[in-house]
Amino acid sequence: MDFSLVAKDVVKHYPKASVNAVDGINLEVKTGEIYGFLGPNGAGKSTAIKMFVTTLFPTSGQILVDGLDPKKDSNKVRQQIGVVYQSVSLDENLTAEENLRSHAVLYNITGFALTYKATSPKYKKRLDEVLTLVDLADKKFDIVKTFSGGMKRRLDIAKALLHFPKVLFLDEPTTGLDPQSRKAVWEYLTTLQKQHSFTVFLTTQYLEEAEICNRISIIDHGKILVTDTPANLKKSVGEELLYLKPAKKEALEAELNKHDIAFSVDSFGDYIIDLKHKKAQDILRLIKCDLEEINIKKPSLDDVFIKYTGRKIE
Amino acid sequence: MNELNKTLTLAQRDLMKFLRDRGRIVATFIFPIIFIGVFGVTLNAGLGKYNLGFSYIDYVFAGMLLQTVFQSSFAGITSLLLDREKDFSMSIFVAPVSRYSIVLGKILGESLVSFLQLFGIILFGKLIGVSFGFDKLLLALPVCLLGCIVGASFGILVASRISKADNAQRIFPFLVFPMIFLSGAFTPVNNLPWFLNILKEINPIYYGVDMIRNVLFAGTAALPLVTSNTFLFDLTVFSVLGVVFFIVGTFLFTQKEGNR
Repeated sequence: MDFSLVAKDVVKHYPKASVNAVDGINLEVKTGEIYGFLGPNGAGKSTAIKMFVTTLFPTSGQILVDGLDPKKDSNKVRQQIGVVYQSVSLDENLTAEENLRSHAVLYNITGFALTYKATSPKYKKRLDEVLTLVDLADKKFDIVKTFSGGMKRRLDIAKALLHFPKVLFLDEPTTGLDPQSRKAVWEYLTTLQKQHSFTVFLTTQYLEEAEICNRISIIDHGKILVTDTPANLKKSVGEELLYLKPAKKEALEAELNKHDIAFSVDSFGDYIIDLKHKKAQDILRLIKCDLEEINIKKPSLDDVFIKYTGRKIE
Repeated sequence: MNELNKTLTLAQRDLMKFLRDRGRIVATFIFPIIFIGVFGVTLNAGLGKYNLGFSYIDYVFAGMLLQTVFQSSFAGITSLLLDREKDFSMSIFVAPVSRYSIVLGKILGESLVSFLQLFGIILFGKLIGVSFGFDKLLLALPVCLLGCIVGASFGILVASRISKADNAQRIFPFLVFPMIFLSGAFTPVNNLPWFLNILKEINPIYYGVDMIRNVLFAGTAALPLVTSNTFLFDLTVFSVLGVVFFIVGTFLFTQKEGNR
């Protein structure tokens, strides 16, 4: 198994702080995986990501990004990663192309060029590629100031992908966006990730965003409390339940009894079936009578977070 | 070679940002107008009758040139380094670029921006009757360039000792204003009490201001009245201070980087 990011007993103690900001974390992020840190403000998420992206050194412990130590091989690691921060890191007064051009020089894609014309063909090709990826190809020469929040964020992601990073780090990348733009950004990211199969490491305090991860670590007070797939984490809190509202009670009851399916009835007249050992689809296939409503209630990551930290995420 | 490309790109970006920011361009012209125009003209009107032996407008103008480039590159470099906690600057610090190239690119960029500001000051100075010819002003440009570099180097040193941007907000007025008042840019700083004299002599701007007056007033009768040291002495001290600030500052800064 290849790992894009490995952390072993990583501790970060800020000078004069009474507690460790990151308190002995261990993790292994597989290559091509989407991995997330879910936790409230001050949990240590940003400190951890800073250490992964070479801008902060750990007090103790070991980190490997694409097999390299971010402290010893800073520049090699930097060339392999893309970073998207909480707030957009673009020059508002420059055009989309000018923003990406300076980034391209910093990442060794093209040499210094005063104008777009003077840039290398390699850069021009890559520029068109990433701008197309984020649907901004027609905005190449527009000043960033005129962009909407969602567009700026997409351009920021295009910038981070310009140099073909092996690992993309996202530190709460949808903070400050409206729910619609937030959803759009995640759709772009998951599509891009599927097409180009880079590794993604993200931090978030939004539970619904954590859902797109292959695996999540819940982090609080600098410690990882649990790591698993979102589905498994939810299972750990409780089972899925199937809620059926029949047109005729007797008909449904008779069918459920016939197929030996255990059920309970709640005060709303819903027939509730535990999905621990059965699939909802299999049950529905057996039922011939009319149903007015079908619901599957899943435990949310909210419930998971409460279980592991004893409080709701803010 | 790659690093040179990156340095130039960072500098170009600073310049472009300035050229696209109308508010900032206007602001850079207002400051010299206030100082040369209001300060210089009013003092000249008030002090003119005492027969100083030189034009006070010329005096302030010379000081203003050097003061502006020094402060402007000082402010530029400290904001870059102190804002490195902010996401925008962080995106430069996570790029595969040597920290020295970042600092150098910023010095170059801020110097270019300061240089553009110079033309505004010169134009305005000529309008209100500054008597220096363009030949002398041309000779003053290299001094201004040195002023940019020393200002930026001093900025690195200061930034390396301050941990957070909000501390800087509190510390800067105590640092910047005495430096301006003790630089001789606006008022003569001869015959100071001993404790102010010590501060004056460790103030880098003082040497820059004296140096540019040595150039601009060269060959005039006013030269001994407006300068304290020889050009060579100023050049030596100013350059040595610049080199020391740059080396010590960059060293301390890169040391602290990552270990905060």
